[in-house]
Amino acid sequence: MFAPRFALLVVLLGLPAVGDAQGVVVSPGFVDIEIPLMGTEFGVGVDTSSILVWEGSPNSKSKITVQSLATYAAFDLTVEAVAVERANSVGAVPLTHWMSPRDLIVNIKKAVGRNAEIQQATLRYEARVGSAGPAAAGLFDNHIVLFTITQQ
Amino acid sequence: MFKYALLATLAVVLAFPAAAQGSPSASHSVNINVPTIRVLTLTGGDVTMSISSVETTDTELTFTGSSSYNMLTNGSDDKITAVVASVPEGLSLTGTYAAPGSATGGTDVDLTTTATSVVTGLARQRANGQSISYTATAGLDVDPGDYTFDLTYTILAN
Repeated sequence: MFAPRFALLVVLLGLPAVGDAQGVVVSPGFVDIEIPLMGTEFGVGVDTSSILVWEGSPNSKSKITVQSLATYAAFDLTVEAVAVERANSVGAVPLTHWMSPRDLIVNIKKAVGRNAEIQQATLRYEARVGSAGPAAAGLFDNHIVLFTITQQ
Repeated sequence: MFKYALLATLAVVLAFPAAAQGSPSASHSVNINVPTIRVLTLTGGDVTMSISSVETTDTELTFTGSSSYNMLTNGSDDKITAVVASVPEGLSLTGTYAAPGSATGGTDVDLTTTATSVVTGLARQRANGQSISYTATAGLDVDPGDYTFDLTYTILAN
């Protein structure tokens, strides 16, 4: 008699939230990118360790925007959603300080039926020394990168 | 059969991030850093010095030679030093150095067994083909033959 009650509880937890339950999650919490030296030139620091997971709205198409909350940026940084499921990546998006949200993923299809539509993409970050020349030793940028899923 | 269904349900719940079911925003921290980098290379290999001219009034023989260096630093105040492993008896060596940008290159710097600054004021810059001009002198009492100066250059914080 115990097992059926436990199973019922688990199934209820697994149901998506009622209504327009779109949401987004990014992991890991921290990404460190080191700009490498290639001979006597700076190269491109690349990181593809981050995964973006989202649940589309059952009522409308959705999109995901990206925004850096940095107030200062010494290096050039871009993010691109790759291996996108059931949506379209707009390509590499520059992340600058004091920026407004910009589209990262568009045309996220409506969730079908009552089951959650969980999709994901890999985030590819590229960091490089800008045209200003070599960066100062010990200098670093810290971006809080915010992803938001909204109706398209 | 029921056990299998239970396990499958548990797997679904664990696989779907709970936070994705209703939170419209998520963020993470992206840090970019550049390590401290200083690079110095000499181009042209070994330098063979030669006499350009000799006058009967000369009290010593003068030899000249040239080389160049490439450098890169992201330090804010760096310098290049030179040191000679050993100075042959009766000879001396000086160098004149080009410097990029606002840095300063030394003129006729005596190159000895004590490390000496030859370029100063390097800051967050890179440059290729910066010239080095060497001048060596030998007294008339120095035996004819081959003499070698082994020079070591170092780029470091000032």
